Amino acid sequence: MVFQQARPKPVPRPPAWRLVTFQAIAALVIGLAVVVVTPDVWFEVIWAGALCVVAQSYFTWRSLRHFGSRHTALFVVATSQGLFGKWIILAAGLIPVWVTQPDLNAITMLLMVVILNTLSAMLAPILVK
Amino acid sequence: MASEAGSYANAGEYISHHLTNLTYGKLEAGATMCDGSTLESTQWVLGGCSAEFNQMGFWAFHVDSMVWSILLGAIFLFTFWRVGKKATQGVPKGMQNFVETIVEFIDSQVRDTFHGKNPWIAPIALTVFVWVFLSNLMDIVPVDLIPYTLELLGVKYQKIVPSTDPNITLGTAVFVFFLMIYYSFKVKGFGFIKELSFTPFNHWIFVPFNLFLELVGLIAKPFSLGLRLFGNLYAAEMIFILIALMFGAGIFFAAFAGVLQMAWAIFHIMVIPLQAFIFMVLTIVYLSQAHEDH
Repeated sequence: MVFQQARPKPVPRPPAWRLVTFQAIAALVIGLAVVVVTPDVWFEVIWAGALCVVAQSYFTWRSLRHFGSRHTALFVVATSQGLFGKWIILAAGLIPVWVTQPDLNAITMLLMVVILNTLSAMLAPILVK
Repeated sequence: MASEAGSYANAGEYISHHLTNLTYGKLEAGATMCDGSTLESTQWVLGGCSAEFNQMGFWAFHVDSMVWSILLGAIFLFTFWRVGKKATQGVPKGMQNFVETIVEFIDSQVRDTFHGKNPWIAPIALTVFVWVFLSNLMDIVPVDLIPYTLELLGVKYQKIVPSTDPNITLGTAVFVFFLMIYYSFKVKGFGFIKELSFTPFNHWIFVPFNLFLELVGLIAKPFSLGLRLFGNLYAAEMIFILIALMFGAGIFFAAFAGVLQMAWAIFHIMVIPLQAFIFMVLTIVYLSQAHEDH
């Protein structure tokens, strides 16, 4: 054989979807706990949790879209788009709710976003290998 | 830490003064002026204190950022125009050598990354790179030097690093975004809308879902350009200001601050071209994506 293929096998994608699954389960558990303990903020917790899952799904999909591409700039750009896209989804999902529904507890929503993202960031090295 | 009165009341005042832009804007009737008086009729004024800046609302222009941006752009254009006019075909020397190095560097980046046919991409990339680089380079100038000199001349507020102003970085990013949209329609025509609607799932049922995914990605592009540059430079500027605060805390802290200032400046010398490079590469990639027609 004169030429040997530079990359004989496709690069396996990291199981980043585990983070989305983890966030969904965590949101569900926290949501159920809130329904039992402090039911007056159940909507805030469920809404923020759902938004986090959607945003994380978007980030995972977008950043892995060009994973393994020989055109490395595409991967860098896709990850950057995924990162900013994630926070755009969160902002677009939270701010209109805060503006139109002043009775809702904004702090609870923010806390939920921070908790879910911090938890998944801490567990990322274990979940994504 | 100098001011008109000789020194600032506290560290907070020093920091907020250095992070306040010289602003020209519209003050509505009834607005409270710096001297405590009330404005009788609506006026466009050059603000004199942060209380006036805060009342200007949306119609406020950061004069210092705009002036420095235009000045740096003019320096870039004049330098390159002058070198281009005097360029010789022999072995380049001095400034011509420097300019040719930059032009060749940008040209090779565009050749590697951009696969369409558009003679404007390399000049756009060159302009973006040099202009962002010069804007970032202003961060190396000692924080008090120009603001204090201008303060002696009666200009109370002055921020000299345009890339620490989100209006400038997001404005540049919006310019790239408009170019992207323009070239997307020019190259693909209606196919651009089709691309947004039928990617990644090529079925009409998924059009709303595809649009959601693609529009978020599209809007994320200018934010990823503008906010990254702003965040990096603003944080660096803040660290320079915090180190400069130590100069007023006695000889020991001043000496230590000198070492820190030098260390941070050396580190920042790497950040300045890196951020300009990232901005330029992203611009090329985004414009390349706008030219890709399947």
